[in-house]
Amino acid sequence: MGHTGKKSEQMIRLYDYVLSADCYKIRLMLALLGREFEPVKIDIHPGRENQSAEFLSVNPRGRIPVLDDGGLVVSDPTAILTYLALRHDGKRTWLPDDAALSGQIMMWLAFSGAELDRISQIRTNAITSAGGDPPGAMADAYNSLAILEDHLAEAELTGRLWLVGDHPTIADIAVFPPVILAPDGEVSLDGFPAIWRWLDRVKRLPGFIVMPGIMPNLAGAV
Amino acid sequence: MSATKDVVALNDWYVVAFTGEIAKGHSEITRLLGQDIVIHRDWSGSFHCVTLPEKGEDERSLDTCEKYGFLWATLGTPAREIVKIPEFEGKERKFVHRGRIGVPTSGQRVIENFFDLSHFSFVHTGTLGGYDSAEVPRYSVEFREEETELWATGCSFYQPKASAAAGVSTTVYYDYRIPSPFISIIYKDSLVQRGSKDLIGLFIQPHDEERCTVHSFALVFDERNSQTHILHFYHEIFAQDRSILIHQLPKKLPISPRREIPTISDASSIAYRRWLDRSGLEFGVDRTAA
Repeated sequence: MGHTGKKSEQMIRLYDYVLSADCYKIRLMLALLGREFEPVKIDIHPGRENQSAEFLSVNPRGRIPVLDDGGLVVSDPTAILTYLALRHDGKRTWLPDDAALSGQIMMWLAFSGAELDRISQIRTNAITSAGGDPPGAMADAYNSLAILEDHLAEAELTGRLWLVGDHPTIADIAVFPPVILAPDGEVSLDGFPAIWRWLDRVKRLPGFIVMPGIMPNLAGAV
Repeated sequence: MSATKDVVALNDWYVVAFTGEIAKGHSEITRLLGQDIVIHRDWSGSFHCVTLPEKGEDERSLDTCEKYGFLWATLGTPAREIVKIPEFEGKERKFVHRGRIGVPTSGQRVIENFFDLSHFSFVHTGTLGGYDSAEVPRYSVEFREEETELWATGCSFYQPKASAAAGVSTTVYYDYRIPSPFISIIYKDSLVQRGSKDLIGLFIQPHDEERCTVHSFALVFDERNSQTHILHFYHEIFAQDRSILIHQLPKKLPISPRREIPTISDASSIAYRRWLDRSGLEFGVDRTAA
């Protein structure tokens, strides 16, 4: 490209797949931070390019997303969200410099990476027609959503609208994608009214972007 | 689960795999028309398909055929050959295998959505349509090949980004071909090779009446974009369709005229439903009147 800017000024690159809930966490976070990025599109399905020698040299775990920020390579959605908040959010609102809040945020990031990842797996199996969800996967999915529902409903009683503290954090951004995309895997959100209200609040954040399976909040648009 | 008794459905060819998806020496279990089947690829690369029998049943071999890069199989005795797509013979277009996509609805719902123009502006906002250009211009519907094929021709739509290769908004012309209840092919203006058409085709594998896998391909003029770039464009579009399809009820396609209040833009859909009715097909259709 002939571009010779300093490494730290290079465009952020994201190893990306348009239907990946994990990649969308990062695309959404970058959009909310107002950061542009250059996608490196990986043929996950049907090509399994994430298992190619070339990709494994980028991330030996064979998973997307992977972020390349001026040569600094970070993989794993939780790690990338944490990195972006520390590196690119000067006001430190998305990951506050506060032990109690950070502890709670990390709990929800873990919840997203474990329980909610299993919901994402149901969705991926359904979309790729792979079938074969482990026994009890659906019941586990609804139990996990009930944990989130209870937390959000209880928070609303004291006027709190976000997962942690009194403004949106990377916890909301980590939890939002697997939850709103759950219906793609026939995991219904019908019985979770507090989750619905919270999903709508996230959709109204300035800079919010959609992906397939997510409709924008259309108030005032049509 | 056992196969449907619907002979119209049984006596047809269906794609059950993309040949490249199954490695030599490997097997895969899948379902076609309610029948569990085993696809085995031997070490020479040939495919063999047998039913997975339930207790008391005998295993049965299925007729199979490799065509267009896909493996086709039938549980019955098709009166017709596999659909002819002459464009596969030329080498000028880029072939894109779009991967299988599972959809928990009838195959007919997927086909009907595929050739529906009205949803572009609202489901594919910013690519295949926009809120400010939602009107569907008139198009024609006709039957060809002694009524064995349904065509919607002269379709057009103003599209912000009609394909992975599109740089600007443009009015794009389409013909839709439906050569079987479970197959549809778009012939769409190429934005790269003026005067030629890109092809996008869906081969649906109905697992049961309310569940299917969509196998699909594209044959496009596009030397600039990578295979993966084109693939992601299609997956974005298809996933938008899928998220709408999973909410359509009933999952079987209603074909009684008393179940619909069509507008002019639904002409192709109405023709498809009447055509399915006349074909005698029962599998995946809902014939109740109310």
